Amino acid sequence: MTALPEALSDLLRLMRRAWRRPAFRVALLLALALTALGLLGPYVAPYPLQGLGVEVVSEKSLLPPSLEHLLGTDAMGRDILSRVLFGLWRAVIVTLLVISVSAVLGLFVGSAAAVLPKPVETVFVYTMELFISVPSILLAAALVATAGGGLVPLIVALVLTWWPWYGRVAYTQARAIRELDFVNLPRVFGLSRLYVVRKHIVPHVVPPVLVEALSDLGSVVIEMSTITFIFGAAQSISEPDLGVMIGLGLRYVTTHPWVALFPAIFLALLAISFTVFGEVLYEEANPVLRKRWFKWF
Amino acid sequence: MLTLNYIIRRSALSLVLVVGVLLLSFVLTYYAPGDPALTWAGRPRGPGALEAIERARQELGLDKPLWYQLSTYIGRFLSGDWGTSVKFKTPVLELVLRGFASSLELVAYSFLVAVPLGYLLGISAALSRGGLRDRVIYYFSAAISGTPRFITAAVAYIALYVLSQALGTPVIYGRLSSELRVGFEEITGVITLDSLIQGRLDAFLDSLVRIIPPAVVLSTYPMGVLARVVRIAVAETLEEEYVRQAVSLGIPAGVVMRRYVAPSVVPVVAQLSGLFFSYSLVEAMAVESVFGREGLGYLLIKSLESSDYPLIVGSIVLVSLVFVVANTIADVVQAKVNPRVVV
Repeated sequence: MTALPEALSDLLRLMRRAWRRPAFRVALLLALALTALGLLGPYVAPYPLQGLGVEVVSEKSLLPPSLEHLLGTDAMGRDILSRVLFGLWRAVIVTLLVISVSAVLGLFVGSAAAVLPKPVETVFVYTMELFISVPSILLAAALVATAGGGLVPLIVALVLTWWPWYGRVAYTQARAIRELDFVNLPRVFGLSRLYVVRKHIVPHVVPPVLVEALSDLGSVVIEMSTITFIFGAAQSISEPDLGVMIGLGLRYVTTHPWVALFPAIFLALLAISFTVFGEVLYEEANPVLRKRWFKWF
Repeated sequence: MLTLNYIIRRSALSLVLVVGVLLLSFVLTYYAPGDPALTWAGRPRGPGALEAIERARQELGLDKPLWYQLSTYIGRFLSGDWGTSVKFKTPVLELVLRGFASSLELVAYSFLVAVPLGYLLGISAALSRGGLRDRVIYYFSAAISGTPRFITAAVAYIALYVLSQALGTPVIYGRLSSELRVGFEEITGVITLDSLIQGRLDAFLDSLVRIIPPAVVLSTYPMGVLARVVRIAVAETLEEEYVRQAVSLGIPAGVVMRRYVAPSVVPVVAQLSGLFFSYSLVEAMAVESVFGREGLGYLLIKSLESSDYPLIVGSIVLVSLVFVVANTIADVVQAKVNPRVVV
């Protein structure tokens, strides 16, 4: 496959162009720092067992921030800094997994729909429409009710509702070029369908899906934490998750504000930096947006 | 061209999708890990548990062949028998419809705020591209749509709580004050509408005051995204030959915007509002639970607390069906506005 390295080098060029804008620099650095913190979180957390939620120290509940517990402790006496680090790990892992799996799935189904025979195309397009109509939060709720509150139900529910968007992008892109000469002529020369798809269709479909996927990182963080926030309110899962922590912490917000405040700050920073990063990237990828109109009038 | 043929074809597609939604919920019920009868009965414990599971088994028809199960399952949903909620002991369809009406009310009000404001912000930003106003609007909209709604909701709720404590006014919570709730008759389930139908101005004003803060919070996402998309759409339209021509003829900016640019941006706004609908409904559930409004979010929390599986499946089916219908209408409207979408 030559398509991926090319798309990646395109992306790199795009990033370099976007780098000139200060907001992009701030957002990218912040997003990278939070991602690194999230990935390393479980290893640097001061109280890993409390972070996981295994260890509960009931005599230390709801302590304000101190040197021993930098961000204080929650209702069950667990160190909030450790909880936040584990929650950040979860948010980052889920977001990256959901985006990459959805993008790959959407890419395959979308471009397959455009090149395969008509009946297959119809079935694939209908499937995408079907999953676009399903609300992610309720799907996640059904999966959590049957399979428990681990990471898998959450990821499955999010992937099932995100991939059709990339499928749509890939499908429209592939359909727009499938009748063009550079796609049809090799077929006339007797080259295999697979070769044509790999050589001429995939390279045109990957870049828009990639940009779309990267600009959706923020939305996935928000949607995931919205779902877990509701689960936290229902007390159906107790995993270290930023949404759950905020949901539970809101009960003590008038007396012990730090329980909800610190997870909220980290979550908001993660979501906003991902959103701004995606927005600027999207704008750089669509050059028509960079002109200055007001000089006309 | 908007033809009858297109409408019929689009409706047929929607029917297929309706069956698809039911099939999906069937798969979720029957092929989820564990015993479907146990799940459907709400994981009962204690005396009467075996009886409840047996009842669920009969209700689901688990001893019958698969095709029979599938056809009765779909037939039941089509005839309006959506099962009974484990938690509330009332028909699921009734509960879900009432919860949905409440959430829909919230989403509708948030759109009333978001669409005009987002549109104006977007146009204003596009006209000063690269300028200070553009940048302020751009980062403002990125920040408000980038913050999770439930955090915004929590901040707004706490601020209103502190304010009401200081002023001595009642806290804004729920959909209607409990004094007014007594004897209030629900017709559609949308309180601001019901009170107007019945001519109860006090109930209308009370529920309006209670819906505005959550609606404003919920509107931040569509408003922020809309502002950015309108900004892009206006930028693209300004690039068109006919607009450049108009500008070069010396037609004033206001007239160019109104007569030449706006008509091509309106369909974008309409289409996007359709897409926001599903996302906003998810976020409405979280915002609702912060402001104590009884809607789908409340139902979802209750059903998760008591493993009320029929209620969860019922809400999935209802919300998906609404999306299918809404998308159909949006497509037909769009085909009327912009004939190029009909391929």
